[in-house]
Amino acid sequence: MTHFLAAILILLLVSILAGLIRVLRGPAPAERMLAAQLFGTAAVAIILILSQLMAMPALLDVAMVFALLAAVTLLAFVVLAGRRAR
Amino acid sequence: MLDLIAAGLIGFGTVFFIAGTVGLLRFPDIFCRLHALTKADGLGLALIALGVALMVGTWAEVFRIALIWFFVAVASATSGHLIAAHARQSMPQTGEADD
Amino acid sequence: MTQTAPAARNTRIDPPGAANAVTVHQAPEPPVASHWRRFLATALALSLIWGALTGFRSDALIFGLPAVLAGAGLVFLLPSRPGWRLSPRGALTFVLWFAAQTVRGAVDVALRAFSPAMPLRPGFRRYPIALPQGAPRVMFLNTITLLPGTLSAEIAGDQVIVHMLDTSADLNADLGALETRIAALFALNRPTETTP
Repeated sequence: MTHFLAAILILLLVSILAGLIRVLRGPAPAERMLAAQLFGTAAVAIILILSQLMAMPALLDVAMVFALLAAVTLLAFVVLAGRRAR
Repeated sequence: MLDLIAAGLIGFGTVFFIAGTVGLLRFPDIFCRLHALTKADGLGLALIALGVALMVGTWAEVFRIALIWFFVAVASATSGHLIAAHARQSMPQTGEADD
Repeated sequence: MTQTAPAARNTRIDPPGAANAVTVHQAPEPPVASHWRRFLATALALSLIWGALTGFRSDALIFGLPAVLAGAGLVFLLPSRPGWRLSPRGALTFVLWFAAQTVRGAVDVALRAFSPAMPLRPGFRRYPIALPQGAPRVMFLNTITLLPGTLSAEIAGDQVIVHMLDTSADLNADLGALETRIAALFALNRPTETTP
């Protein structure tokens, strides 16, 4: 089970890294924020698995913070970018 | 047995995460890419959270995982809409493409 | 379309045969009682969340109790009659239906992403929202995104501009089904007159 979870973690990390290609290519700033959306979801999944793999329930709190912060990040981007456009 | 189900759920969840990233890279515009991220990653996280919840020891942890999933699900639907609305406003040429 | 809350309540017709059909004949409760009931319900939900976050430790209540009371106290700042209530039956069918739709939507988009031909016919469509303002409409706009092939892209007055992965799909049927189920969830009668 440990090996399986480790393999899953690597796959999830690769899928985040591949998502970073979209950040590099852009072209619009909003496209780059898509990677933040991906990271918000995938990071929570990674931390959930990590909390199990390392037997550290405290990591669930980290996942909770990630879950809430990802929303704030996107909200801040949309509000600030919208204000700049006007 | 429970571990096997959990592993299956986590494995399927990962497949959906990979699908989300593939969509993010392959789909032609920002709106299609949002479809991939909100839907595929959303189900991916739900499956992984369910799998992990089957493995943890206490009900408090299960509840906490459910809460985390719920926050991410609500936030990702709302921020998907916000990014789409922002993209439409910054790209005024994307009107209704009625064919 | 901007229904005021009391109007929405008066025009509500429970579905025939529903277990809660008795509520139609009940006299509307005074707003004060309804406020306190919602205060208690919110306080209960918040305490449950707080307890789960802190592992039900009693010493954490030093922070938890004021936070829960302050959060629940916010209901007194809200209008006394939201114009909707949750129907347990509607909620159950909604959750089951919505879970199935979410899986369908994710499988659909995953298959499109993996397919070498990548079958997409993306485009925008307008859809007039029949649900009243407030929680039902917010719920509708958020759930559109998780339905197969649709994404709520912009709100223009009483219309939502939906981005579709495949514009040959029947948008009105899909979103109409969603609206009907959300109306059942909030125990509203289905406002059919504005739907095409």
